[in-house]
Amino acid sequence: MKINKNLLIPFSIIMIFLSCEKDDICIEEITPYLIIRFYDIDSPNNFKKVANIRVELAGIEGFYEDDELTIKPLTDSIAIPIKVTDDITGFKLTISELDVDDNLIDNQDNFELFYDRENIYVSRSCGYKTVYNNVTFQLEDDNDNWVKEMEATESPLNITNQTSAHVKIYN
Amino acid sequence: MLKFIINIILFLVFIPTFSQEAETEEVYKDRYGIRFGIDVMQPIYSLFDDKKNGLEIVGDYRITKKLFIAAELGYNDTATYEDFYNFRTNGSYIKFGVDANVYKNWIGMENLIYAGLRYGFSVFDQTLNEVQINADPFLPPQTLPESINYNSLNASWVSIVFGIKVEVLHNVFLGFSVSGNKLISSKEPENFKNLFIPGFNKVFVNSNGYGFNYTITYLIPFYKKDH
Repeated sequence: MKINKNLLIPFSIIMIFLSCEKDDICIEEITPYLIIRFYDIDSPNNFKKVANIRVELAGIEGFYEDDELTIKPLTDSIAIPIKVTDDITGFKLTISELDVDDNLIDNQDNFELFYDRENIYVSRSCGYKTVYNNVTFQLEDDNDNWVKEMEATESPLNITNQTSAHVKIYN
Repeated sequence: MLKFIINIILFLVFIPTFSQEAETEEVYKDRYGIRFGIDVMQPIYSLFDDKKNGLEIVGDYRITKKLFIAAELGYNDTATYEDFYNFRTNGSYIKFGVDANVYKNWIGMENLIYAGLRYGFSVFDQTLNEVQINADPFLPPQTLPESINYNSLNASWVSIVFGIKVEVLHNVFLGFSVSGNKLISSKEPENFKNLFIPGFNKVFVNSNGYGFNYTITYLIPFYKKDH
């Protein structure tokens, strides 16, 4: 049997050139989290860590935990998920602080996030993500806020990625 | 009387000599014609997997001793299931190009080991179903209720093909081929992607793809030419 040997090298080169790239693992960014950074109300350019922060979402049972990635005993920023089923998410942030008698007590503050959802195709294995546009918020005043002020980092606020903080909380 | 008998005998002896023809050499001539048939891989696959349906007609036409014009024509209706969604692609395609036979046949045989090029074009629809938004599992899941139809999409590509064709019965060939495909152009659906294209098959991240083909074809010879 005789095969033209001149074909062997071009064949090998072409097969390498045409190799198919695997795409069955999701490595791209999916639905972004709300990133909040904590600042000192008395010294607004400095970070101020909060102690023992616990995060709850209205309508969902249990605390949100991320294996101490951001939600740690002492932290100056947290990344928390925003609901993809509604255009409103209610957040409850509870921290530990010292009262007038130097006792450690809990203080819970609530705020609501309002936004327009947009679903965007990411890739074959990731599927679709939701991004949040025109985000606004409303802090609940309970006469004992540990959250003194809330500020968006840009206006209008669109939460589309995780590159920087979206909201500043002064405490 | 004796002279007559001897003349007859001599005449009869020499007749075989006169009727003996000069032996001519048998020269083998190549057969040229059209060969057509179907891909049997798709129909057999469809029996076991109802997510894939399709039919492909294949053909080629010999133009020189080693070159053939080749074409494939088919339709395909395939459902693909991914982690967070599924979709159905259906449409038709045509591929045409040239095959070159690199195999030196023994005299009288007509088998092929070939390399070829194809240009392919497809027109198709996509239907996207059951999209579940990819977000933190702490959140209640969101599955989009409605399917989305994308109609009249198209794509074009080039392929390099390697294959064999063996004559198993007179004029009947069995063939197998592998193709490497590279997408040239495509009309993409809005907020989605052509992840599968009829004729091209699964589209990988770098716009490459591959395919297999197992065919039964029949040759209709038209004329013969010197080898």
